[in-house]
Amino acid sequence: MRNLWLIAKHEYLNTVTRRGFLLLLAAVPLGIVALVGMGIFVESMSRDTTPIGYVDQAGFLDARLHATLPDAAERIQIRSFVDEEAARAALEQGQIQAYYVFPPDYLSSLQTEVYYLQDEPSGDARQDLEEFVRVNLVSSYPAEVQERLLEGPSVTVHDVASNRTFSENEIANIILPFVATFLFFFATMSSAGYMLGVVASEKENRTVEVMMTSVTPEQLIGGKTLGLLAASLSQLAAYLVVGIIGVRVAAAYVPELQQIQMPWGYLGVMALFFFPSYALITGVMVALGAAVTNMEQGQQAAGLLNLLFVLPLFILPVLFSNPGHPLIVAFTLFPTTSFLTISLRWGLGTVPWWQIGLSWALLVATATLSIWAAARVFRAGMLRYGKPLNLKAVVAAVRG
Amino acid sequence: MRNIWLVIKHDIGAIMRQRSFWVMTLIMPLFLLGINALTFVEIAEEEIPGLGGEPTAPAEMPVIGLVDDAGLIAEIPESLPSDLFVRFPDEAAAHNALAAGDIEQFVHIPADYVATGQIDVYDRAFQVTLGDTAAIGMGDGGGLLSYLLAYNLADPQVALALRDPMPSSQSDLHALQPAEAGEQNEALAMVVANVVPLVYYFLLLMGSSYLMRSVVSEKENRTAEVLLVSLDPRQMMIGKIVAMSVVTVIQVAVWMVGGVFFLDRGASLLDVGSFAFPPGFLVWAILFLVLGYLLFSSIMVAAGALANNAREGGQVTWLLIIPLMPTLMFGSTFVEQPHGTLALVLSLFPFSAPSAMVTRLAVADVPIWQILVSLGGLAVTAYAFILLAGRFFRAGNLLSQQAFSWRRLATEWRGSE
Repeated sequence: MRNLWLIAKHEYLNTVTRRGFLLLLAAVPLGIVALVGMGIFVESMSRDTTPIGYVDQAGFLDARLHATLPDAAERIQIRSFVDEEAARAALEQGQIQAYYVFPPDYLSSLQTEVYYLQDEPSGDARQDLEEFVRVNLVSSYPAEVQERLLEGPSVTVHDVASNRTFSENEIANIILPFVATFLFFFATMSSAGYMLGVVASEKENRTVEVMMTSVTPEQLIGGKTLGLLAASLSQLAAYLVVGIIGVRVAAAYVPELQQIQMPWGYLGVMALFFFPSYALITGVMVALGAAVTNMEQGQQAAGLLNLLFVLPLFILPVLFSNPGHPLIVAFTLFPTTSFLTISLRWGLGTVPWWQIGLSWALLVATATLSIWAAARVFRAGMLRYGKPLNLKAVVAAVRG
Repeated sequence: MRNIWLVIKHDIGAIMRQRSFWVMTLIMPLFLLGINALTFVEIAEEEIPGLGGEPTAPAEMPVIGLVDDAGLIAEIPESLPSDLFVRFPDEAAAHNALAAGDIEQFVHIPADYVATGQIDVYDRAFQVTLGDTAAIGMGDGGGLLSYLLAYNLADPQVALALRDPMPSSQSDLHALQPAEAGEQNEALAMVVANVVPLVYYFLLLMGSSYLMRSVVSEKENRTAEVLLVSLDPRQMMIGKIVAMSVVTVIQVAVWMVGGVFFLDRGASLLDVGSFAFPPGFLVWAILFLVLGYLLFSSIMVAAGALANNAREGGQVTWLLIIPLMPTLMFGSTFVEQPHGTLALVLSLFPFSAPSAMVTRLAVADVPIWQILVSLGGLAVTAYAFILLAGRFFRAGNLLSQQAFSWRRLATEWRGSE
């Protein structure tokens, strides 16, 4: 046990004091901020603020009601024209980006004609005009009814299976699992990358020959795994602290963030899947590191193997549109993709308990097998230089 | 020239004998295209057919319970099945039915709904994004509940208009100065706008990384010492860059031919509109790729000359990834606003131009002057960096055991000016 802890402590300190680790630790939150900033910047740059026009042949639009819209001064200006000729002239002079014609029978048919030069009206312009039309549609009703018709219902969904509630006012509580998922996953995969590096490079520079005189292969692998797991948990703890501070600061400016509650249920499920997933990836990387002759070979193979773990990211649109799709259920149960899939699905709603249970059982079984097999492959390949272990040799090593 | 040719022949052979090269060239694009096509199919099938008409309930939608304490719902719209809602006298009865599995969800409209706007929905197994059978969602998925309430608070016409005042299906579009582009299916254009940057990301980074690893491995195993007896460092650098250019062009040719084939076959299989790359696209794509590759590879070859192993040299990769990221992340912007500021800036900035300009060319008509300015800027930048790389790629660095560091890179840069 002493050797195990010595190796774990050495590996932990070696990892967390490495410049690359510290840079990565800082880069992720900064990267997220940069991504969000870039998204906001792109959104603002692509906004076309040219006014939009309309010709009201149905006689129901009152231009004065535009001022009653929330944040009217920041909206795209809406200009009324008496007839189509005036509107077209304004369009051709570039005074408006497009104009809509509401024919006399608009209220019964919802038919409109849209005129523009080359590009259809921007999404923002269309949205502002729609809201203006809505305000006019309800203007004859009492104020309280108007508000209700325009805002619609505020729906809170109570999921009786999990006792969770979902509401558009608490959107941050729905997004939070996604952010946490990526951070968890990122920490796991980067730790796995270190594991490969440690095993492959110690074989490459022959350090392993010296170490084998003092420790058993199981102690070596166990110690390194523990050390890297601790480093990974430190990384996650750092992200958690930064995240909490960030949310508290941002909550002063973004009201939706004030509703955030610590998702204990989610954290519990993540912890349940994190440790066996970590063990599975570690086992795979250890076996790979022991089977190759140098880091470069290991990295190439690791790149392909990593795909098995990140597959759910490629089908995110399917996940969002239909979380119960058979492919998603398959990814929920398959050991390498279960961690990521379940954590993403958790943010979207209820995951049937039988799927969680079966998925966890399969994951634990596979992780156990992975560690057991990795130890055998490591024992077979650790002193084998110059020639990598091919698949046949790996299978033979696992069979003993 | 003979020496350069020998280096080219050797490096091309060495790379094409690697299994990973063929996996990336043949299997990865099939995989990526397959995934994108699958998501395209799923999204296309999930689209609600036109918000313009009256809302209808999907055929498999389960019965929804209704507890109407406000007494608002007097009438169910004709477009909805008359038995869609089952009324319950109070919440307790509805909860019992929910627990028994008679209903999947129920809606409770409180007495003060008009004043507060608050509605509670109780669901047996809720999903935020709705599947085929879900009904009322957190965002009132599809506006079913809003429509029902507006139908009863106001009148049917107002309720329909509030749902979508200017439905696309009821809008006649008139472009007074239409562009000359042919009919393109927008969904396929989105797929292309997301796949092209990914393709360029892989080609540019992979190709230049191969180059860096080739230089570094010859340093690591001391082959460089032997080679430099017969070769000038510049001959070695030119040979390696040209070899990787050839390999990259082979890769892109395979991917382009395969991509066009699958797009056409996929479009006909899925019965959607076709997608055709604009005329001359392939020529521009290859030109930008070659120049982009020369730029990226000159930087990576310099990094390889300074580094002792692939891991050290790989640190420079991050500098090259950053300019490619915006096109990868905002591919859809190139379809929605191909002439917007973001697309324009990215397609003119030399480090992002190969990926961004080619993506723009794939989905829109780009003015010829922009293409030429971008190509010119890229060519000048690539030339400048090749000259710089040539100064780094010298015997002193190729035989050095010093570790790579940013400080050393800066020193070498200043020393070479």
